[in-house]
Amino acid sequence: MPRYLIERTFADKPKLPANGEKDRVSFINNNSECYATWLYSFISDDRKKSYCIYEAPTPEAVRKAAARNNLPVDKITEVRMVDPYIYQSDSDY
Amino acid sequence: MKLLERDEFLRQLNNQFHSAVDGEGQVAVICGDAGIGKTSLVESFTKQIEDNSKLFWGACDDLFTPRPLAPLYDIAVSMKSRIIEKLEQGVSRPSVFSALLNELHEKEPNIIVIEDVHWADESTLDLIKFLAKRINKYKSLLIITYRSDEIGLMHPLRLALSNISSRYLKRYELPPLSENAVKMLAKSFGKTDDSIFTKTGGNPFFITELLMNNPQNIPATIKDLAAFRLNRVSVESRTAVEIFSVIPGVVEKWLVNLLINNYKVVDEAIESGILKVENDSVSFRHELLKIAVEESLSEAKRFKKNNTVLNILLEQKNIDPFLARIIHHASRTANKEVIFKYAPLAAKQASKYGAHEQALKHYKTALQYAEHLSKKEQLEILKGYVYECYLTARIDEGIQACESIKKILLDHQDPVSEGENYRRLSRLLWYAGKDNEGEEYVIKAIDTLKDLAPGRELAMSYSNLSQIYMLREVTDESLKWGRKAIELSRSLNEPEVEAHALNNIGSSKLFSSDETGTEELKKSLGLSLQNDFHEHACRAYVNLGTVNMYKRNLAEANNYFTRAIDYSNEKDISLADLCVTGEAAQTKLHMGKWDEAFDISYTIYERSNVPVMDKILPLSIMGIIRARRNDPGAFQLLNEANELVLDGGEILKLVKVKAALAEAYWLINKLEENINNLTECYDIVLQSNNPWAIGEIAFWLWKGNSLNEIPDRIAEPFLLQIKGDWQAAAKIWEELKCPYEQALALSEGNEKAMKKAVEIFDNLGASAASQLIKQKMRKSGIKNIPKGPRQSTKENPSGLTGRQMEILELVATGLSNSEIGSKLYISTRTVENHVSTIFSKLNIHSRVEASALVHSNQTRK
Repeated sequence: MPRYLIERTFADKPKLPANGEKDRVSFINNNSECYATWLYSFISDDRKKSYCIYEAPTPEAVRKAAARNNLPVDKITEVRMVDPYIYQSDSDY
Repeated sequence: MKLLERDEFLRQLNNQFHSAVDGEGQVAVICGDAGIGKTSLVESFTKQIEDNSKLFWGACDDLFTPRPLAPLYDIAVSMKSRIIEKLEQGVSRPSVFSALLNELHEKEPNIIVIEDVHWADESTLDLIKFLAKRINKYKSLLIITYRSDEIGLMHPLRLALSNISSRYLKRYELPPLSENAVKMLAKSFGKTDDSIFTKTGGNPFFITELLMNNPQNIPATIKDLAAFRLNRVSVESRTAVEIFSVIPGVVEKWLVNLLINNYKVVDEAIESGILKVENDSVSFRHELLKIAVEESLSEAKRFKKNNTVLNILLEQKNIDPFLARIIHHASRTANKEVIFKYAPLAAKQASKYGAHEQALKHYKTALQYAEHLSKKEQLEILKGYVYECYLTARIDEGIQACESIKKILLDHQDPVSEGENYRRLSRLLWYAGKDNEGEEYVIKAIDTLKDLAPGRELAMSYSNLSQIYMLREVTDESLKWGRKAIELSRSLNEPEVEAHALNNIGSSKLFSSDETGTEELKKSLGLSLQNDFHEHACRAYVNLGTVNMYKRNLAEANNYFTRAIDYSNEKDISLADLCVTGEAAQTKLHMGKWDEAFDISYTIYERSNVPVMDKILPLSIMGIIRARRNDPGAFQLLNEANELVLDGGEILKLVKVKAALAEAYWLINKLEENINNLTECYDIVLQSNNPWAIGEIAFWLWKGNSLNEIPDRIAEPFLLQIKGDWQAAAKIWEELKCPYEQALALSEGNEKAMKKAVEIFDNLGASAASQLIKQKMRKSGIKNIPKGPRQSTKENPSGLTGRQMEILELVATGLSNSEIGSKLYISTRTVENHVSTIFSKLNIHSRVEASALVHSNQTRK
């Protein structure tokens, strides 16, 4: 399944939802109903920008999941993870 | 026997049942491996509530090619219904299904069970889809079971069911028993064999069989278990069991009596734990046992047993109900004579009942042994086969079959069949996106048929040629051949051909802005509706939609497409579905409803067996939406559409694809690279007389500074824009409710206009265009450029205004539009408009969905 990098910009620092586990589960359910899986994110110091890595079949699945969880989407890019091993001669870079 | 580790499933089934009793019907989909206990679960559940509900039961059979609507027959029997008669009288399937629904309504509350759906024929799948979609308004619980390993993710049933809200449909995937459960079960039988779990993998059937059996050595497999039990009975009993094992489904009493002399042999097998009797029919205690017995037969034995059953079936007075079973046993014995005699009959029967996939398979079965048939017989089978290929959109297969017919006709003179074949081939080639070849063949058809006594095929060929020109928008040729078709059809009294030709003439005229075409098109529609020419009526709706879509009369176009879709569902026309969908999606795209347009297109994209011509618009729509949103994967889709449209011949598709591709290049500032492509297309489009088609391409050429002169015929908004009157152009787009085009026009204007353009782009999610215009504004030194839709976790990102949020909440509490109006002191009309906008922004289609959305929204304060 392809991986996507999603850039998000928040007007205010997003608050963490108050219901803990219940919210986490519903967040994940909203994602999985759209066939999208949140892997992890990088967030800026002021929390107004985030860069999220998702696994999903299409960019539209990512958008649907974002809409369900009330998250903004600035830009979606399909990405691959690479590490220094790409310098090896037999890498498929 | 109490079921282990199934309590939660029973509880949820009960919940679903209670929802159904309360008036909100439900669907339960139970799946799992063979032997996992699907039937046991259903039986246990239905027993629990048997006093509170009626139960109607049906099952699908493991036939080589399943019998159409087999479970419906079972259900009709348990309902004491007469719908089967209706079916056999030739009443259309949707009407029969509706009648079933009415009868269910009269016998509420009820539970309908359809088992073994992995063996279902196409018509049964349609029945299940039909019921599943509508059941939530009835006090019914529909339970279907299937083997998950036999139904892949892309199976049409799964796709169809995935569209049903989880409010009404629950999936139950039964897992194997846990090690603990197995230990407990074993203990209760006084056994402590630790290997049971490993040997059985937790499969409940296998486990209980092993435990209840008390064998000295626990058999390693179900096969061994079956062998063990068979060895315990007499030879006569074993023989009976073996012959039952080759019979799909249950063995009816009358058949049992013909196969055995003494019922004692059945009793023995029951004692030994192999067979059971239900409702007078004999069957195996479990499918797995049956398979085990059947697989243990030698080739010779299996052949002999199948043959015996086959002969009995053939001797019956009325073989119609047994056609599918006859084919089943005949194919197991490679009995050519029976196959070619009965396969075509079975195919016709399946086709009559709408099970076209099965009809196709029957023809294919017959064709396997075709060399032994006379040319004439082969021809008949191939003709039926081509027809079914057409209906199931198996275009390439159909083309190959036409080639086979060609070969046969080389040494078997039959000019009528030859002409007919060329004409059919021409249609199939068109669907495959090979318009030029299609034209060649319809002309060949005309040449072959015109020297014979004039007939329907010749008239239809004229009309098909007219149709090709209509789609290419070569007006005069289309009118010429259309008129020839009408003249001939009238002299032959063939209203069907006349209706077809009137459509071509009317559409041709309308594409070139000759409004008198409406008369012919409406006449075509009227004639078709009157005479039940379902496919032609549908095509009339579609073309009425298309001409409106071209002119951007989007609401009108949408209405016609919706009518076409509803009509095709009602009248059971399978092929039309795919055609209309692309155009309906294109209309939504123009309206600015991108999510809807994308979703509709995606369902076509995901399907297998879609003819080339029907893929084109969906690809281009998905591609342009991605390009507009700056999402990955845009060009891949647009390029694919571009490849396919080249030989397609249809101006509408050509224009939409080329315009989309040009726009995508423009959005990344590389329009110059696409100019050659556009110019080529422009030359073709100029030859049509269609101001909207010409306008769309001329516009992009102009955007790329490559429009040498303004064409004579060009639709107004494009003309205004090219002349530089962006304001008037924007106004027209606004009136036509095409927000994206409106914004494109505004973006050529002054500062205020550009800001408005950016606002519209941002609302639509058109990041690419928005960024492009913002860049332009920055370069011209404009300050205070809007920053784009600011996202806060407090705001609703779907862009609903405060008022709209208010109304949404009221809708979610179940108030009607007029009640809301009263509450807020605004008119019902205003509320309706708001509700329409809200639904559109949130991409939902009903108040129920609105309610669900509001209640599940996690960031409500």
